[in-house]
Amino acid sequence: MPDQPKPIRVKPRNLTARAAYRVPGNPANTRLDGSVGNCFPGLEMDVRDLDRRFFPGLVFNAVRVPLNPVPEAPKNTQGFHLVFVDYMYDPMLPDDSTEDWVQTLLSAYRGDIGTKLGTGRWFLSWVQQGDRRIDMHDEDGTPYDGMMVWRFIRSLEAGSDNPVSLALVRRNHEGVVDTEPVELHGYRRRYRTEAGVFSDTYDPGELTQSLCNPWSHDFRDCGCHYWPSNHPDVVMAETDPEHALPTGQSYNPIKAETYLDWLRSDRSLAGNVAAFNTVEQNRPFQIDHYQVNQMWSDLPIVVEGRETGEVYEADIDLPDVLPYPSTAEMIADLRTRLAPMEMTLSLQYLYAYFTLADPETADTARWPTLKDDLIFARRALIEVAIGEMTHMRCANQLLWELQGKDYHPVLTPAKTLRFGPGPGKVYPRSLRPLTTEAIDDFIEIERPGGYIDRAYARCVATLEQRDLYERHLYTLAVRIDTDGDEHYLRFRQMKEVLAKYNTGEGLPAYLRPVEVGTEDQARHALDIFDNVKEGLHDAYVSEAGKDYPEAQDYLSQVRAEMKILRDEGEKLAADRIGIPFWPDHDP
Amino acid sequence: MTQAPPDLRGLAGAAHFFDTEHGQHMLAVDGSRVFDVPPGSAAAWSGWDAAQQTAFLSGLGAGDVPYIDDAPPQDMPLRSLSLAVAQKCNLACTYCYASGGDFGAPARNMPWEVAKASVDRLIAEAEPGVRINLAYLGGEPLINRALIRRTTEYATQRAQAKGVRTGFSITTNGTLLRPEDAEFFEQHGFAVTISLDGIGAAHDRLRPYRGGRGSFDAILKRAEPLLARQKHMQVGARVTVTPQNMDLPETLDRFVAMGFHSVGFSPMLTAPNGQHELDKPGLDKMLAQMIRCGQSFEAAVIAGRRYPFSNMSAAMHEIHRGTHRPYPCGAGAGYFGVSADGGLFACHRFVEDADGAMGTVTDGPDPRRGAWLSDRHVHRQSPCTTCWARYLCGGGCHHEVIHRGRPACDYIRGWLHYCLQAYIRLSEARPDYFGAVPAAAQA
Repeated sequence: MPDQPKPIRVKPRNLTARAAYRVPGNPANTRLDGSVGNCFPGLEMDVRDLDRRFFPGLVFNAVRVPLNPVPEAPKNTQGFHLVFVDYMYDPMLPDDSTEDWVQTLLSAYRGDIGTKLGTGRWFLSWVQQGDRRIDMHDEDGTPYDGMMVWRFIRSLEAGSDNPVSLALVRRNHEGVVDTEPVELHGYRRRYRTEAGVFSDTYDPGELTQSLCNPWSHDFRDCGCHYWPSNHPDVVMAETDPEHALPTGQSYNPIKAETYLDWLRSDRSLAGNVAAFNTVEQNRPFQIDHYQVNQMWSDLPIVVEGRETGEVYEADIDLPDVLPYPSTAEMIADLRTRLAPMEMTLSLQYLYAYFTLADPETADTARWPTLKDDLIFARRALIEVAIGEMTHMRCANQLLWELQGKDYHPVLTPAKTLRFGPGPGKVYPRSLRPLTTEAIDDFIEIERPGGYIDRAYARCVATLEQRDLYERHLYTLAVRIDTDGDEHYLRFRQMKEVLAKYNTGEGLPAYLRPVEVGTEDQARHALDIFDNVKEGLHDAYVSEAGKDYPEAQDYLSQVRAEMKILRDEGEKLAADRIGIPFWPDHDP
Repeated sequence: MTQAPPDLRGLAGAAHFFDTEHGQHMLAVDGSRVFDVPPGSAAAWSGWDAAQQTAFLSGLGAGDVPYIDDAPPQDMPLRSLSLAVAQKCNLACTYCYASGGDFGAPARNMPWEVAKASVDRLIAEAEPGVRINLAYLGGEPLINRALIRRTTEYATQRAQAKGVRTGFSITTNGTLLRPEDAEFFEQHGFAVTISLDGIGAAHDRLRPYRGGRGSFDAILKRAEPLLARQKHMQVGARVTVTPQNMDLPETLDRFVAMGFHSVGFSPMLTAPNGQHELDKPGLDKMLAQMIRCGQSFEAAVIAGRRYPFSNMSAAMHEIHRGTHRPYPCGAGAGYFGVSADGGLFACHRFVEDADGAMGTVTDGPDPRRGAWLSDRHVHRQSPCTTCWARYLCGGGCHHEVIHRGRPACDYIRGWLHYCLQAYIRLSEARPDYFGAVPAAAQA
């Protein structure tokens, strides 16, 4: 490899340059949870707008019952309100149609009926299809809410064998029908053409007109499904370039990994204080309705859960990380160090999981929040354990892709772990309950910039060489490398939530008394564990040989075994027995 | 002539750097991609070795496959024909490539059978929806007006029946235009090009009648009804630049003011008798004049005013789109010239020229066409393979290159260098001129 020229920032200007230029987009390892929003799905259109033109020539709005009507407001304004008659360019109503119903409708719209519909407020009174008629009002005559009418309209069938009749009524200021209804006969519109394209009947912008915009007042509060794009609730702060490590990460991981309210009104660095757990608690510190109008464009873009400033760097350079001198050395490191490390971590976390008390038997009289906190901690811990299992699989995948025929699965836990600042300290592996000390150790292990991702940083730096390795291997390594952030956060949350139960007297209320059992005590569990390892071995071998259906069969078996192992682990833990995942443990 | 294909993945002529008041810029020759680069990039580039240059270029996003490979196009459908409807002329232009209209052969008119066969061939090779083009040239094509009318009507009717779209054009000296031509050209949406080599005496010196009398005033008078009726029809002026008519800005302004839809200049590089060919100092002078015209064009675009200087508007849109071509034109590919007796030639200039002969209009192109496309590929041209302008220029007019070589390369590079700079300026000042710019591209 020649020395790479220093990166030069270029700007593509003409069309070929722009088309070919690879902007930092979503890498191949992007996952759904990396998307911008974390609350509601975004929509490209408002489906209600389709039905406003369900009947040829008529345009309705679905009007809701007003929340706080002023006394002088007109009454009974809810329902399917006729906005206007629009037959001139309606593709269902061509001038030269030979269909009787079309000509009848056209002459109605052009004639007296059109004139009549042009005065006063007209509403849909009923629709009929076949022998079924739906009245759009209560038995006492109170009109239905527009959204309810809309649901009825959605149930209408389209097609030439499904004619639709409807009646329109005019309501006066008092909400009383004051003239003869207008009856019309036709068919429900098909909203899409044969080719799957929206009907020409809709004007540009019509299908999105009711979507909210970020510069409208209710962007702050609205939890509806009508945003053109969803927005996040909580985010992590942009790493202050002044305080960044050479890796781009913050030297202050606690600050960097703290969730902030995306809508916080104090957008200075000093305003970067942790978001509360509920919307109500955060509300006073959010930008207010009127501020949205001025500040919406200050709300930063969020990538991978983090606010970004002027420049988003997709691939952070790791200037002080050297690639492995050879592929063989990377393989050796993956086989002897990294893959075994992942297995040890997942088993340590799994062991700790079984030491958490059963939420159903929590002493809620003394600890009213204990049940909820246990549910959270168990879920968070099992997620992290599963994360490490996923890493073990990824490390194995790197191996089978790099080794080809020489690959055989690595499913042996490492005997030692190393973590801590600098080169780190060596710790023997240990199966232990989730005590405060254990959580602290786990936090250190998973700390961004700590031992784990430094370990994979060399893999990343090696696989980054495009001319030597396929790109998906690089993205795979990056994925393991960056998952630590999430684990770190989870353990910190666990620490925060569980700290209050540590009274300094005996076992904290969230733990149950569990000690590492003997092989005999846990015989059944260990047999299941052996089945799991065997199944994983076979699955990895099949996948390495590209026999995906077979791999899938093995994985399904492993999943089933894992479920049994979880039940067995709970049962043993209830009897104070922990599963001895490795035999050489010193009790 | 056989020569080893040059290594085009090599870096000779891979990038061209240029400066404007907006900074430094680079044309990545492969794909005609234009980038803004930081100041000093050109100096850095020249200090790099081949591997570093390659790494830099590959960082710009194009893949490993070059935009243009060495393979000539296969089975190009025939889309355009020019008909030499009259191989004779009433003018005696001093530099005429057709040697006074007859291409050095006996003067004659094209018979109906040849014109009909030409239309039939175009229609036969066109699928519904495709656009075919029929160009009438000569000599002076209006000498054979009846054939033009009959052929146009026949082509329109055949094209309508098959659902094929048509485009018609005519290149005329303008001396024989009649008011009723305006109506006919308008009806069929003709692109009419009138050869005008300057204002008044400048034109008359170069384009006299056979008796020696000037033609300028007569032409303008006859062109007026056409200029007044441009709706579907477009009337352009085409100026051949010789040492005798170098006042380009004045010529351009005058013709624009007259209402021409477009005005274009091209240098006189090769005449059968060698007369009025531009030499190196002449080309330098023309380049300076062209740049003056270009500056007027820039000012007009920035002011939002239409200024139909066709060399410039074409260059702006080609640079914007990143046009990259292995040939200067469609000659011998989708376009052929048909001689009066039905011979098929690479283009209108090669009529009656063995170098460009490739079959007959009744039988279609013969194998000489494949050899032509293979030979004429810019990757087979010297010194084009190391020239940064090769994919914008395409190697230069085949007719001129074959008969005179490449005397105008510096002129072409100078012009393109200026056009690249102007593109940067205009895309900064008036991005709307190039169509809507996506917001992301402006960031």
